[in-house]
Amino acid sequence: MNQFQRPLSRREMLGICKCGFGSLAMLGMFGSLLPSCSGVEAGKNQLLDHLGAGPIPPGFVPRAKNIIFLYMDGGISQVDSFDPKPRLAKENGEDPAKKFKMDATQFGDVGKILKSPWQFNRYGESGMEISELFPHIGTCADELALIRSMVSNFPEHTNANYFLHTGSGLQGRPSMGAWVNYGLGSENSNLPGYVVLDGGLIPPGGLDNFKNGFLPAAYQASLLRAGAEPLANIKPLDSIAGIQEEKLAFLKKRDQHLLQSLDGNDAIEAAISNYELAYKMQSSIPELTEFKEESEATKKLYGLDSPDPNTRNYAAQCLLARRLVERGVRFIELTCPDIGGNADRWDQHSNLKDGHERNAHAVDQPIAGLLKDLKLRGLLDETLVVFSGEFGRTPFAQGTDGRDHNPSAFSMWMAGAGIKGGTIYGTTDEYGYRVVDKPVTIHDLHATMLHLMGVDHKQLTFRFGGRDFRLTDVHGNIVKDILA
Amino acid sequence: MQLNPEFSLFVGRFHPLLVHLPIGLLSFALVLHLIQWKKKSARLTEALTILWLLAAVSGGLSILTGWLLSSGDGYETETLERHKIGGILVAVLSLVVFITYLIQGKSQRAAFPILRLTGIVSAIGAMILTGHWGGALTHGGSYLTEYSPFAASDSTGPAGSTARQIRELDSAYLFEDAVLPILQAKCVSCHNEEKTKGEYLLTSHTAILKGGKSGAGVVPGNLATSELYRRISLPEDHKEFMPTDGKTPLTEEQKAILEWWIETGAHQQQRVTAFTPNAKQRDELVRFFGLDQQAVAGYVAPAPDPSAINALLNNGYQVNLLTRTGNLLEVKFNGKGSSRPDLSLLVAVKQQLVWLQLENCQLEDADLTALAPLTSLFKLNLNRNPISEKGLTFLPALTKLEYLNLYGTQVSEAGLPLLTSLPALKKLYLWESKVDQTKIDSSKLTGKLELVLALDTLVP
Ligand code: HEC
Repeated sequence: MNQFQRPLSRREMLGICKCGFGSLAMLGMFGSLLPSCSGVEAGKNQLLDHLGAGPIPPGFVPRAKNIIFLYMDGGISQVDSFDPKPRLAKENGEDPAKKFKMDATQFGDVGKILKSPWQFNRYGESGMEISELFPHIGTCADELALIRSMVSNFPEHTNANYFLHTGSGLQGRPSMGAWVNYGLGSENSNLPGYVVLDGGLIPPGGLDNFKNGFLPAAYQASLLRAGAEPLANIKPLDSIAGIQEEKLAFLKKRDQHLLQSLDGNDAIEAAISNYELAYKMQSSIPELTEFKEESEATKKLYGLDSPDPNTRNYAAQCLLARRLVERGVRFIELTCPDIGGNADRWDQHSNLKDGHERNAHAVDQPIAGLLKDLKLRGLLDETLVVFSGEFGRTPFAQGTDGRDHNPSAFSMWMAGAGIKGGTIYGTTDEYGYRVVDKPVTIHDLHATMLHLMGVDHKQLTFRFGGRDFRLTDVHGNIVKDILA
Repeated sequence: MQLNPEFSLFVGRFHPLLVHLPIGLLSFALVLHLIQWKKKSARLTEALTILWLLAAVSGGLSILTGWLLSSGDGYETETLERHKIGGILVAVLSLVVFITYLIQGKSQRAAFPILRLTGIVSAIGAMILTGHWGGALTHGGSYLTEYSPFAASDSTGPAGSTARQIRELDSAYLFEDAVLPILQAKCVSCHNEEKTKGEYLLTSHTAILKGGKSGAGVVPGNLATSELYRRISLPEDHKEFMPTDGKTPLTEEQKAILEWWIETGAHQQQRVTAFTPNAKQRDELVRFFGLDQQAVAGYVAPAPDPSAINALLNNGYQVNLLTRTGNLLEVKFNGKGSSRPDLSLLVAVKQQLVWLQLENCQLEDADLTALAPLTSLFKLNLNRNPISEKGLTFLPALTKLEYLNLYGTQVSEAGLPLLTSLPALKKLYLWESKVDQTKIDSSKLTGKLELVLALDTLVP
C-alpha cells in the first residue's frame, strides 16, 4: 500500500487550498463571483439536501424524461427519404454544374443529377411525404416533427459525428448524453444514466462520441452489445455466493481510505461508484435483456420475427431501449447494425439503391414498432425519440449510382414528449441541395433537446480550463415551432 | 413617371445609405468653416467649393432615392412630409452656397456674404432636423427618448404601454397585458393618432370600443356585432380582412384571446383569473405569456415537509423534484408485480405531488380511495394494476388531472362516461384494458381528449 502514501502533487495541493485563507479575503470582496468556492453548497435548496445525492432537478417542468437517439450512421440521403424533390426526376442525368453552384465534395467524383430510385407517399392526416424506404415509419407520420432544413458544419464523418454528439467538431468534448446526465442524473441507481446500445457499428470517431469529456467520468456512456452477453463480465465469476461481496467491501474500504487522505479526488470517486454500479448491474442487466415478459404481439410489432437478421438485431435494440426507458435511463443511443455486403453504414458513395434499401429495411419496422409501443404504454408522452444522421447526401451522383456527403442540407425528425406531431419545418431548394428557409443547426437541435428535458441550454455549464462550457457553446436557438 | 414598383423600391432602399453622404460632407464643411473663421485660406475655400457641390449632388441623389422609397407604404405621412421638405431644403441651400463660391471664383472677397452665411447655417440646421425626422420614420418617434432618464414614464397610460413581463397568470390583466399588446403588435401601425385608417383608433380602451367610420368597434359581450371581431375572423383573402396589405395575421391564440375578452364583457380593469378561464383558455394564456416553462400551469407549491419525504423514501418510493423553483414532486413506486405501496403516506405531500406513478403494484379498487385527496396531480399512472372502473370514483376530485394511464387494467367501457367527463383530462391510455372498442360512442369524445386504445386507433 506504500504507493498510495505519496506526497501531494502541486495540482492536489492547489485543489485543497483553493478555498483556503487567500480565498477567504477574495470571498469577502467578490462574494458569489467565485463559483468554485461558494458554489453548490450554498445554493443547494433544502429539499435537495433531503433527497440526498439524488439528481439535480431541471430548471422547469420537463416535457421529456428520457431521450432515445436513433443515430443513422453515415448520413442518410434526404432526397431519398424525407425530402422529395420531383425536379431531380425531371433533370435526371443532366449536368449539375449547369444548374447550380456546387461546393467541393468529399471525393470529387461528381456525376450527373440523380433522381431518387424511390417513390414518395403521403402519410397520416398531416399528409407528410415519406419515401418507400420507410413504409412503417410512414404510419407514424402524425407523431413526427420533421425538420428538412438541418445543416452541419462538417462534410466528413469523424468531425460531423463529434459535432452531432458533442456540439464540437473536435475530439474530447462531453457527449450530449453525458451532459443530460450531468444536468439531470439517472433515475435508476442500478443502471447507468447514459447507455449506448451497440448495434454493431461504432461510428467514425470511435467511443469519443460517447465520452464524458471534461465532465466527471461517471457520466460517460455504458455500451451494451446486442446478443447473449451484452456487457463483458456481466455474469459474476465467483461461484461461491458472498465472496464477491466481501472482496468488494474490502476494496471499497481501501478506496475510501485513499480518498480521505487525498481529501477527495474525482478519478477515485468515479472508480468507486463504477465498482458499485458494476456490481448492481450484474443483477439488473440480465433481468433487462431477457425479453421473457414481452408478449408475442409486442415482439412482432418490433419485427423480432423478421426473416432479415439485421431487422431482428435492430428490433432487439429498440425493444431494449423501451425497457431502459421504463427503468429510468435518461439517454439511450442506438447505433446502426452492420448490414454487410458492400454497404458501409448509410454511407452510400456507390450502390445507393442496394445500401439504402437494406439499411432502411433493418431499421424501419423496429423504429415504427418502438414509437407505437411507447405510445400504447403512455411512454411517448415522456420520451423524446430523435432520428438523425450526421449530414445529408448530394442530389447529384458520385460516380453513377452513389451520393457524396452534403452538410448543407439534411432531414431529421423528432417524436414524442413535447413535440407537435405532423409538423414539417424548414425547406431546401428544389434539388434538396441547400437549405433555403429556416435552417436548423446542430446547436439548435441540442438546445431544443435540452429544452424538452427541462434544461436551459444556456444554464447547463461546466467550468473547465478557466471558462464555463456548454453543450451548445455560444450558439443554439430552440426550434419553437415544432414544440407542442 | 411610372417605374416598376419593385425596382423603385430596390433603388429606394439605397436611401438610408446615401443620406449619410450629405450629412458627412456638411459636417466636414462646418468644421472647415470654423477653421476659416479666424484665418482665411485660399486652399480651404477651394475645398469648401467642392464640398458644397458634393453636398448638393448627394443631397439630390438622396431626395431621388427617398422619393422612390416613400412609394412603398407604411410611413407616417406628417413626418414624411416634413422629412421631404427638409431634405429638399438641404440640397437647395447647398446648391445656393456652392453658387456663391462659384461666383466668388478666385477672388479673395466673398460673394454675397450674408446670403452665404444664412445658407450655411440653415443648410446645417435643416440637415439636423431632416435627419431626426428620418430617424423617427424608421425607428418611430419615441426611439430617441425612450430610454432617456428624463423621459416621462408613461407605463400607466394605455396607449404607450408595451407588454410587461408576466410571471404568473394570476397577476395578468386581460385587457392591458394581453389584448392591448396584441393590437399594438398587429394593428396599431395603421390605426394610430397620426395614421388613423378607417377613422379607427386602436390605442385606448375607449377608442377601441367606440370604433371608426362604420360605428361601434367592440360591443361588450357581443361578438356578432363587434366590427373588430368581424374584421379579424373573415377569410384571409377577403378584402375587408384585418390586418390588410398582407401583414402578418393574428395567430389562433391571439384571436382566441380577443374573442374571449369581448365575450366576457370587454372590461378594461379585470384580471385574467376573474373570468375563471377553463383549461383550454388557461393553456392559451399560459402559452401567450410564455409561462409554460415556469411550472405546471403556473402552479408553485410550498416546500414539502422533509419527514414526509423521508417516509416515502423509506417505504420504497422514489421521489424526484421536477422543478428547481416550484417544489413540484414526481413520486414513483414500481411494485414489479409483487410489492404494494403504502398509499396513506402520499397525503403528506399532496400539495407538491403533481405526478404519481404506481405501475404494477397489485392495487385494487378499494385501495384507490386513498388517492382522492391528491388534488394537485396532473399525471397519474395506474397501469397494470388489477383495478376496474369501480375503483375510479375518486377521479372527479382530481380537477387538474391531464394524463391518466390505465393500460393493462380491468377498466371497461362502463368507465368511459366518468373518464371522459374529467374536466382537464387530455390523454387517456386504455390499451389492453377491458374496453371494447366497438362499444365506444365516439361522438361523446371531445376533441381535446386523446384516447389511446389499440394500434389502429392511436389518434382519435
Ligand atoms: C396595413 C394597414 C392596416 C393594418 C395593419 C390594420 N388595418 Fe384595420 N384598416 C385599415 C384600412 C386601410 C381600413 C379602412 C378600409 C376598410 O374599412 O377596410 C381599416 C379599417 C378597419 C376597421 C373598420 C373601421 C370602420 O369603422 O370602418 C376595423 C374594425 C379595423 N380596421 C380593425 C383592424 C384590426 C383589429 C387590426 C389588427 C388585427 C387592423 N385593423 C390592422 C388598415 C389596416
